[in-house]
Amino acid sequence: MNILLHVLGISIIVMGVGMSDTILKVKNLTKYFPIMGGIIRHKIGEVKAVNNISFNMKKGDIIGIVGESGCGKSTVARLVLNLIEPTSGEIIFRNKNILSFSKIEMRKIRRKMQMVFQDPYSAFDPRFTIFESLSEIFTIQKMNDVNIKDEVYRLLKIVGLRPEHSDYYPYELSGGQKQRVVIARAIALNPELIILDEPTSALDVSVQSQILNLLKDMHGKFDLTYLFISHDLSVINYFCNEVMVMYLGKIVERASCEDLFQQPLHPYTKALISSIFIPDPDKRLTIVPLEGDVPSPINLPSGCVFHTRCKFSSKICMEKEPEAVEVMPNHYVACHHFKKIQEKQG
Amino acid sequence: MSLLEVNGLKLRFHSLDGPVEPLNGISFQLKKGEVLGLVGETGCGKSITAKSIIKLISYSGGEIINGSIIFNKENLLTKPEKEMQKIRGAKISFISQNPMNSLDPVYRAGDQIIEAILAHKKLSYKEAKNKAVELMQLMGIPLPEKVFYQYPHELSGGMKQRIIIAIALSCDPALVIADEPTTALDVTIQAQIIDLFSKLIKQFQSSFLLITHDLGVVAQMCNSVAIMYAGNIVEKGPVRKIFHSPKHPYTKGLLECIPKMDWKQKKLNAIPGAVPHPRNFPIGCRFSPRCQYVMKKCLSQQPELIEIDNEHFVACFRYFNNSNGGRNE
Repeated sequence: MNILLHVLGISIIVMGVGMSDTILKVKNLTKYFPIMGGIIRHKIGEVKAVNNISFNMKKGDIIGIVGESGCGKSTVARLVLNLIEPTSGEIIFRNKNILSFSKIEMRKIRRKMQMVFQDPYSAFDPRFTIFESLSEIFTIQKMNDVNIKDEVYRLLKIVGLRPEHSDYYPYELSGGQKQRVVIARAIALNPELIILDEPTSALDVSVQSQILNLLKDMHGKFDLTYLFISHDLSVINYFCNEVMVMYLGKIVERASCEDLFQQPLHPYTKALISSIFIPDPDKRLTIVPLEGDVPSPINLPSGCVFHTRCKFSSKICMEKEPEAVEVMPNHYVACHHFKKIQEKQG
Repeated sequence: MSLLEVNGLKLRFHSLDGPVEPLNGISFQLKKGEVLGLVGETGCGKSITAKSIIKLISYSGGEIINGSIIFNKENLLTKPEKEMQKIRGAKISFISQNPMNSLDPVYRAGDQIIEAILAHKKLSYKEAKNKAVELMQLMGIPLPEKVFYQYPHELSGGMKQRIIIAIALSCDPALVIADEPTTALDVTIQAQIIDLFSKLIKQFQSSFLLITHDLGVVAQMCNSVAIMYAGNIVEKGPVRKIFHSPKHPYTKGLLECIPKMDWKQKKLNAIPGAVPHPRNFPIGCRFSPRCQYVMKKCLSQQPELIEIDNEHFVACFRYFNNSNGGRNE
């Protein structure tokens, strides 16, 4: 009952504040991982995983981050939750800079920001039953007034499982069922922000659509805000309202889904969209969208990081890093030649 | 003329909890020059089918208990291991899923191609090297002479997969089996590799058996498709028929599960439930617990593959009464 009131309380506040409320601000976030080497284990280089990225999220947003492996999208997820320490930058959640928080304060704020990881198979302690895994949350958060049993059953019901499943061990559940429990665990403390780091890439297509539908239902039901990380553009298109495209630790384009898929302006976004294989034998790909490989994040190319693979590349691209420009309302692109591309699209 | 004929293939795996039979007597043919896509979800038996064809299934702990595999009019199952070694790599080659683990880390990339060539052809090292460099060029590897001397850890995922494809094609095989050749790769690299495959298919005139769970890749490359579910082939036919007029409820569901790019859907169609484990396959039609059209008959009997249209086969009781292409409703 207590919990129920809690839920109601939150939703009333949310309604009062309105939908335009910014809940997360990320400012100039940068993360360099040191490479240690040599005989005395000193720093011999840096992996520039995330380079100076900024974005805002409003309450109720579903924002997707898309990019190839190694572009830094999962690092962003970990940084936002303060699971790893950034090299520089600010993360402001509900008007508070969480990077300045102590451990105890951080634990409190984690109730409001949760994460769903990619691999449900390694997300559980194999020696814990599902009940033990789920009840652990309430003990860690010292919520002694909660009837844990009822709460676990309620959570399982929300994600489409039965109370019996609480006695199962993780190995007795299928991948899809495990991912449902992971989601139950993420919503257990009524969070506001959930970071979904490739929640369906370890699952089969028929199960993927079940999980996507479940996540979408819950978004409406519990007033959640999602940061959805994926490499699959068709999933992003289905699931998100807005998309950020990342390449080598930088956001190269940000727009609403409709804009991005209909009028992609960055050459990398265009290449990504055209490398999707549409399941229709009459729509076969005729050209290879992109030559070459992603450069190493240890030695980033000078200027625009994409110039090594870009067909529009010119002298300025090698020398100067492009700034993000708002080309249309809420459509940002970081490219020197977006005008040329825009004209071409006509 | 079929190059490969798999008839009633049944496997058995021994485990601590007793034997498991993940394949339920599957049959299919592959014509010369055909590119067949074998599609299904995790655990449907597609990879073990591929491994059975080259008789490597015993290394995964399996045993072929029934059926025949006819390749070039010869039954591979009766062939001794020595002769199989002459076939593997030379006449049938295999591209495995993970390019990261498929190359030997202590040998140079080029030498691994040469090893495959010298195992089957009487050439000098120099001739083999020329052929290897030529193959690398064909695979679109930039600076093949340089890459020849590089070790696998110096190459990117896409490059490694190109080397593996070069090894697979080094002896002009009649049949290439590719088990999820692009699953581990990024989308833009996947597009490059699929494009390379499409060119090679035209050039080499080999037959391809492509094993994948990605219907987008199948639509891109194959000219016929077999859909597998829980150890059975539930539907097979020419690629256009499968994608434009799927008949089996599982095929339909699978196609509807994929988010479409051209319009924004309110809700995705989902197939309820999960793929059953081989230890407890349902009695009757194995798809029946997840099927929305399930009938009484489905719970007790297994439907066989029947031809409902020219070369379009489906295993579903909904099409049984009128096998001339009409639907029974």
